[in-house]
Amino acid sequence: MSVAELEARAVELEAPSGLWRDAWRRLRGNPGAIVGFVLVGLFVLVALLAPVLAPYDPREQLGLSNAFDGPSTSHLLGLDGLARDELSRILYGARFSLLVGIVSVAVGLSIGLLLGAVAGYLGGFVDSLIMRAMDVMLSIPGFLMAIGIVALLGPGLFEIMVAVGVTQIPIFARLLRGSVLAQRENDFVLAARSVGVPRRTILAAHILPNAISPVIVQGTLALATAIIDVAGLGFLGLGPQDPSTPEWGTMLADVNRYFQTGPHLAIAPGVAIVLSVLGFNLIGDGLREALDPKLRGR
Amino acid sequence: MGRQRLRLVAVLGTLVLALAAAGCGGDDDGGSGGGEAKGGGTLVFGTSADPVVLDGSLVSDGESLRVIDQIFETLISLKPGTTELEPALAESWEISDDGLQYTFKLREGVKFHDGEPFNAEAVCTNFDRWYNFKGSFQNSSASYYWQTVFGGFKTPEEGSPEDSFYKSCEATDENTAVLNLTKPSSSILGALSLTAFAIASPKALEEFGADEGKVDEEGIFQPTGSFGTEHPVGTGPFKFESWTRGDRLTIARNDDYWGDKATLEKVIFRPIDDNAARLQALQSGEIQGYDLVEPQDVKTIEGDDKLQVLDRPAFNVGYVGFNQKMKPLDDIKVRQAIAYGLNRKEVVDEFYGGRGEVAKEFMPPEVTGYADDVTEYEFDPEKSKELLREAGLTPPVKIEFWYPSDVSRPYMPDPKRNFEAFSASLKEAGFQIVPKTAPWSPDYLGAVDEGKAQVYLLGWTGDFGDPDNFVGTFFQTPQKAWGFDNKEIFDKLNEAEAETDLDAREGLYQEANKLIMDFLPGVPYVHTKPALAFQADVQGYEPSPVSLESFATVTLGGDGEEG
Repeated sequence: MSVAELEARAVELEAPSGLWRDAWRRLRGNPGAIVGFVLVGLFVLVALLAPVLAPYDPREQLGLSNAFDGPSTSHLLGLDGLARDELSRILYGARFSLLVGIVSVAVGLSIGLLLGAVAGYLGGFVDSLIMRAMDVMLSIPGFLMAIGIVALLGPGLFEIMVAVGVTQIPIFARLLRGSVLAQRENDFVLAARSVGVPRRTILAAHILPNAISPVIVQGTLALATAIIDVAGLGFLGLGPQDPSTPEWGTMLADVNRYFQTGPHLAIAPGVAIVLSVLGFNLIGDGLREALDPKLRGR
Repeated sequence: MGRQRLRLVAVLGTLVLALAAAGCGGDDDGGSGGGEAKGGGTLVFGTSADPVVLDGSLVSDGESLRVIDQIFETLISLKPGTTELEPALAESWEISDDGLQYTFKLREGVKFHDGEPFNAEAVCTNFDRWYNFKGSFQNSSASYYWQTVFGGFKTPEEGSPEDSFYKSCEATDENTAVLNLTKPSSSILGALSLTAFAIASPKALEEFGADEGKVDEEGIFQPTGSFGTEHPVGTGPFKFESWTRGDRLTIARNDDYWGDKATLEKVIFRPIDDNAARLQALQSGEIQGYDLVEPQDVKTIEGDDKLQVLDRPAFNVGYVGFNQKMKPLDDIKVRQAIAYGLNRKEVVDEFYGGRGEVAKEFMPPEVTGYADDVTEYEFDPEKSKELLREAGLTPPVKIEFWYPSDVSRPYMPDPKRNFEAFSASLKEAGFQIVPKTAPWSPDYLGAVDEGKAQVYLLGWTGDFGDPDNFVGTFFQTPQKAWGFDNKEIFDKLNEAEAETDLDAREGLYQEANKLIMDFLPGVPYVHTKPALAFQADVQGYEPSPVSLESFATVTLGGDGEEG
């Protein structure tokens, strides 16, 4: 066999397995990740189907004299301080968390990706400029920055999503830049450059797809962080302007002063936050293991 | 300016006044000697915060006043548990016919804690000190009571009131002080019962640099002298002993007190900022009492036979304010529609733990001038919609409704909850609510004061038992927060304030209240009875509508009290 033939076979052997297929196989074998998928699946399902699943309107006050009623057959999780059905509020809360989570991660991811890719690929002065700016942002604790941004913009759904999104920008930017740098000097990139492929095409078609896997991991983890951050903002009173919005963090904060009156109200939103965040974290960890080249083939 | 007062008092809490156990109450109380030695002991009282500084003329927060009231006394005080005047450091007084001269006959044989004699000279030194406040001391938050009652200063800084009611104070003999005013005022006597006008030892004021320091932009006095932090010297039933910030402030019985001496040997004030933690401290016996019990905790305390709840008479009002500068609130029909659309009864019944009563005007029933026959607005959503249509609007009508975050006041322990309940009932009544919120101070109060809030939740706790302190504060002058200019109401209130005949005055204020509730600048919805909690064996604490409460009459029933 010629050297060429040997190499060709090696390439052939690797092709059918591939990065993604490999990753998927490893992911399926990871019980943690499976639990994660179930939890997140439930979370998304609840979020999408909230209007169907919820027995009551989450904003409707069912007679203030019934406030703080404990769990009963008609209200499985009881009533909150304004006599609203707690279960319905939790279900609708999933919607809110999912929406804010996805939008804010999308904000952070898109801007972060752009900055990271540009910095990594262009290098030099642009790189220094962007990355120092990112360092400055990273030097401020993320949640603190989110509070600052909300304080600046004023509380509101849109503002919260922007605030949480912005705090994620530097993480994505750094991650992608590192990844792009590693890919930039690879042979296939050099080859593409030598045959005159435009830089933009090289970046989009050759480098990014190969640099993206850590970003996917970070993306799922970021969703978890986003949900926690949003709940945290809500807990600190920086939640949505309309206080009747069912938002887990705000719900938790509201019970704070009525803990002796309606302790059951603290449990439901707390558990909801924990489970959804746990789900995303488990998936994130699973993905990390699955996509880590160092672990590949084990 | 009225708004400024509102902010201040609302933020900082109710006024506490030194009430020498003294006065009439003591006379029928048997020999003072017996009670004094028998009880003794130390009472630990849980407060929500440290006092700012122990100088009545420069503070207005409830926690400072609470302690100052034990150490200092005023010329005139209030009968325990009421807003009726009674003699304190002044035994009697006379007012000249033109209302410009107040002659006070002072109590004899009274000594300050530092041994200095209390006399007319000392009284005038104090009045002159207040009148001569300079620079940052003229901040309207710091010397708020002086400015409210007497107006301006000798050398007014920019922004301070120009005119002053105060002219001079003369010590005509050892025990006669004459207060000269520039114009008559019907509220001076009542106001002299305010802690802000408590008499301090001139020697201590001088020696410990009471006037050294600066009032910062927030209106908080930052002393560099030690008068208000280590050497507050008055004539009260308790003497200052020690103060470790954030931990405890101790006062001890004044054994040379001129009236009935206190029973307790010591009172310790311990700051515990969290309400739930205060309740736990009471339950565990760590403290023997605390103030401003949350309505939802009252049942818990009442259910515990080792504890007791004391009521303070309602002396506040919670209201929904309207800014008439913002359409469509300039239309009386729309204001009426809101009034009919607020389910006030349900909110008061459900959220105030049985400690609230539905308000029908802007002052509590205990205050003179309260009118029984004002227009009332019962919850009626259909009528609201009808009124809106009559006003040429199509429901739902959009209004911006403001509520404060992170604050708890006696008249609204949980503003957000009130807001949500009111929003729901207004929606039913044909309104579309745009929620707006901001942190209480300075953002929320700022927005309201600047006239940026259309419909808003607010309230007021009275300083002293005078109608001028309620409706006069709100409606006597045009204010940005209300955004209206109603000459009839302004005139009526001016007339009432200047009237010195008490019956005529009462009638005028009643008329004013009727005018106000027809004009409907806002909707009052609640008067609450704030609650205090004590261990069951604590006796003799007399809650006052204006929080003028003395520890001098308090005894600990059981023996073997812990320190």
